[in-house]
Amino acid sequence: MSRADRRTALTALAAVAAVAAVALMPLVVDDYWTYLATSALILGLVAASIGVVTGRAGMLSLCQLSFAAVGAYGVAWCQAHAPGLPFVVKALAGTLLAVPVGVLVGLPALRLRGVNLAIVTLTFAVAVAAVLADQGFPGANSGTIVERPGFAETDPAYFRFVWVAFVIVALLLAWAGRRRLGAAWLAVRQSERATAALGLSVVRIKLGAFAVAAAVAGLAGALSAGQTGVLTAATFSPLASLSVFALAIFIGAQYPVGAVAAGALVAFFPEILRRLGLPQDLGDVLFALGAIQALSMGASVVGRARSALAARAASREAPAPAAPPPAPARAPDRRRPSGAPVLEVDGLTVRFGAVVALDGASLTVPEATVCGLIGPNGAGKSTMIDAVSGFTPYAGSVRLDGRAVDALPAHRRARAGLRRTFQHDRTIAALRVGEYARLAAPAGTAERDIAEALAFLGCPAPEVPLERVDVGARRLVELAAALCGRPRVVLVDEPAAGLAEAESRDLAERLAAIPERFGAAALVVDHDMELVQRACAHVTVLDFGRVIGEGSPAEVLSTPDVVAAYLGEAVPA
Amino acid sequence: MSGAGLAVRDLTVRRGGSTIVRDVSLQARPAAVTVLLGANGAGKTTLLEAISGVIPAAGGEVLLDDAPLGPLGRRERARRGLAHVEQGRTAFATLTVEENLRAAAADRDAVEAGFALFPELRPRRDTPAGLLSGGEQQMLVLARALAMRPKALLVDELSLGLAPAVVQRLMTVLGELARQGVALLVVEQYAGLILEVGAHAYVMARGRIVYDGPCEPLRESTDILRGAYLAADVAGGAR
Amino acid sequence: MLQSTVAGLTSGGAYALLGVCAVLMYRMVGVVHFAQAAVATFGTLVAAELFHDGMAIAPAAAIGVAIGAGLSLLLGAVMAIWFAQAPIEVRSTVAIAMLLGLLTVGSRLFGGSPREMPDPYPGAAFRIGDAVVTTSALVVIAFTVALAAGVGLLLARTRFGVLVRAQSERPVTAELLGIRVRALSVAVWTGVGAAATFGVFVVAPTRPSDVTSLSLLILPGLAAALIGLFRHVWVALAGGLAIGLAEGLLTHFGSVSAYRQVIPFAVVLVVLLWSQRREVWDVAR
Repeated sequence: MSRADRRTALTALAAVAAVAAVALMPLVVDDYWTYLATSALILGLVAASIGVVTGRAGMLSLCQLSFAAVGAYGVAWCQAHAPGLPFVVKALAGTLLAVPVGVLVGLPALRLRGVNLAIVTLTFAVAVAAVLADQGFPGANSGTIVERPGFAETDPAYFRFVWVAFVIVALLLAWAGRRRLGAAWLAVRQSERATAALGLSVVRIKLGAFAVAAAVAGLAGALSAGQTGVLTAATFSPLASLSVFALAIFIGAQYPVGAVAAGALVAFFPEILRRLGLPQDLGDVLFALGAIQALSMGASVVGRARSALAARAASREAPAPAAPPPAPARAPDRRRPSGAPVLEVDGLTVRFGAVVALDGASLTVPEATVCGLIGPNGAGKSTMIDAVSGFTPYAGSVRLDGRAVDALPAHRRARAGLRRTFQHDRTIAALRVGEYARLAAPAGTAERDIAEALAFLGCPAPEVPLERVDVGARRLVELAAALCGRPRVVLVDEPAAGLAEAESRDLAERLAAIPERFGAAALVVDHDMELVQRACAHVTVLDFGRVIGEGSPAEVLSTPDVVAAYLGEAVPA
Repeated sequence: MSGAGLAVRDLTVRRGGSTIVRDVSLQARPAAVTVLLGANGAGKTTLLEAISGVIPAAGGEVLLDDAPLGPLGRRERARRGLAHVEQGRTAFATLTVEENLRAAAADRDAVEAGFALFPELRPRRDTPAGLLSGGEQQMLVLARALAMRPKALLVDELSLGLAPAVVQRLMTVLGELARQGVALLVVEQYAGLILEVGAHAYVMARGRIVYDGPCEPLRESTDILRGAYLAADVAGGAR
Repeated sequence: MLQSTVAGLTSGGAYALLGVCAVLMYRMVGVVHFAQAAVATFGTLVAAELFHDGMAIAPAAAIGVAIGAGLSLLLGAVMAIWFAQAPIEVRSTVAIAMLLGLLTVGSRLFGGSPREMPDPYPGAAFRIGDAVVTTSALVVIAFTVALAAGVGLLLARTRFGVLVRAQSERPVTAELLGIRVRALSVAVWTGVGAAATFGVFVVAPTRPSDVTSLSLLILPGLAAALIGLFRHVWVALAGGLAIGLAEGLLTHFGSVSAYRQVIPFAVVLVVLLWSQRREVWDVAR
């Protein structure tokens, strides 16, 4: 068994043992502690929901307890109007009720970010708390008590019931975290543009995150209703949302361990302080200070622990094997190149206020050809790529395989086969090399194809986390991922930035081989003329937003106009 | 002004895991324009940022008039007389021309000196800087840096995106400043115009200095520059 | 109906003041100051304690304002030293953590139950028809107007103002020009903190005056600031007054009275979605 396999097996064993141990806990402690532990788990679920929407997807939501309130409301309503229903059904009803509310609150997240979104969610929390305080929960006036399920009426039994629910949710979230969904959340958190360039819909990912977070919080509220039986608005106050938020950020509740730790801290810490004779609100102050400290270091407690463990594991392992040089392992499925243009850009004009970044620029990329786009700094090359790939509005037309794509948003253009990389690294640092490449590839792409594309460009092995990869190699991973998307054409923005000379030469060879290996055309922007000469069959030159020359690299680079554009005027020829 | 000007010794700068600047040593003497050329991505901006303290250096040292700047932060280095005109349009867009100058100036005279240097800014003194043309903004930014009365001035691609006539004007002013005793280190992508006023030149490629010598050879033949910019072999180039 | 609407002016004045403070903090030191009202509450409650121990109202208020200013100075220093380069989301989350810390410490120091607050400006100022405008409402509104105007002048006409605006726009460039960015930002924190403390002290007699309730005055204040898009001080001022008046109006209609707390949310949502309707991409990333 390899070292990694052994470690996974041990972890799984430890996890099962822990789950069993917790389930048996009520046998050894009295009901008081069991009750507290149940509260800890419920809070842990709320913390986990923050872990999803803020920890993973990066959206500041300060109203998670309001979603919990909705879940509790659902249960209370069922209790008041249909008491015969099994508790599990009532809880499910409450959970599902929270989902559309979550989506509604998530809609502002499509246009609002950061603190604006935070404040909107906070004012929502205030509104919900006020309405609840006034109206009360269904059945509160008549003194209706939410009944626990028949099989979990005692505190220990209810604790086990909640623990089972928690474990299921944690497993589901962990599972989702490893799949495309989880990777997509991490992508949106880091860069919406990068996510769209991978062909993913930012709208769907964001709303999905809110829906999932609301569901988890709603479940927590439903379980809380069962635990306490009687519901008050004070439990779901905006302050409570703020507190759990700060705690979740500090601990790092996007990891299951973090969620449990967060819940446990809130539930047990005050009790422990009380036993020690210390003031209980010391805990809150410590949390506040801890959150400030965590924010200053940029990572949560659990996040840092994981990084440290991973770093230690990495230093003990052998270094990742260098990828083999490119060798055509299998013939790619490609059509016979017809010489027809795969990308036609016609009269592209881009204005930023009074500045004209592109002025009627046109170019064509024939099928299965590597073309270059060069020009001095500020000439408009990146603007061209942004416009063609749909990230900047423009006047003019862009056609892919003869079809106009002007109406398509960026992520649809990517899915249609018009992919791009970015000038400044936009890989998703929280993912591993393979996970990131998989995001770009159409669903159902074989592991082998992805690994091959990565190896072709000399990328690190798929298991390596991107944060341990240096910037130059990350750019290569970005390019490999774009190729995994089986594009018709890929726009490559300065791939050689940060590479040493020998690596740059290797890259030029590989770029030249893209049409053969992947059946794709490429448009390469770079300042490294050696790379452009080696890789490109045809070069277009931009200066001040206009095309000032095109032809083969040798021709173009010796044209006096082009030399003058690069070196500045008034240089003797 | 006396003193040895600005000296950089074996400076190494890292960014995001890559080494952008490797063991760079150079000297910008007082009362002279020292030119730093190189293709995009060669590390020129990173070098200037490490000198002024915008980013930390991983190794080596920076000295101003023989005093090491090592532990000092950017504000302290500015107070010691090191001014840095950053790349891009860095005027305070919502402040007027006059307010931009006042932000840097210790007294009224320094503000007026700025207008004396660029009389075309005088009629625009109450215009928000964001509404000025590119050339006017760069004039303002240069005047603002000078309002600090610096001993050494780092200039990063002042001419970016400007028409040749405006660039000519700015280059002339830089020459005038050198005559007044300031040590200038000027980064440019457009070699032509700056070499006319330069006293000494360095060329950077891939984070290293590949040419260290007078400006004449670069003015006379484009081979050396072509080599560094357009990847042919680097011929000659005293070290 | 008019009476209850006009009664909302006192609250509206508080919201307007906190809204103006929030806009100023956002524009000048780049943070959404969730803890602004909590800091003001500290100073206010200290003043109340001193007053109850026998001190005259004026010196008690002065000390309270000084406490509020001093606490703000501390928080500003923390922000300027450790979070100077952090993005606004992180800085604002730090402010949330500060709010939570202050609430806890405050509950410990001052207890959780409401107390009787000294009323510095009792009585009525004038009448509009049947409705009475209280002196404290007038004072708080006048103070907010003076603050907005005064700060506007300060920023536009003095060298201090030039430096503050410069560093808020481009902090790194400002430092490269030798500007004392840290000291300036701490000065702003202190000044705004003092102003907020005075405002909360004036309106405290009309609100439930426990630590938590007073500290959560920041929420409608932030809503007012959002109406001004965190940019336009006078719009935020008007927005705060409008929220207060609308709350007062809704109090009149007993049945929907509870929903008056929904107003800030609704207004904020509409304003933000309208102003951001074109922003497809997150600017920086």
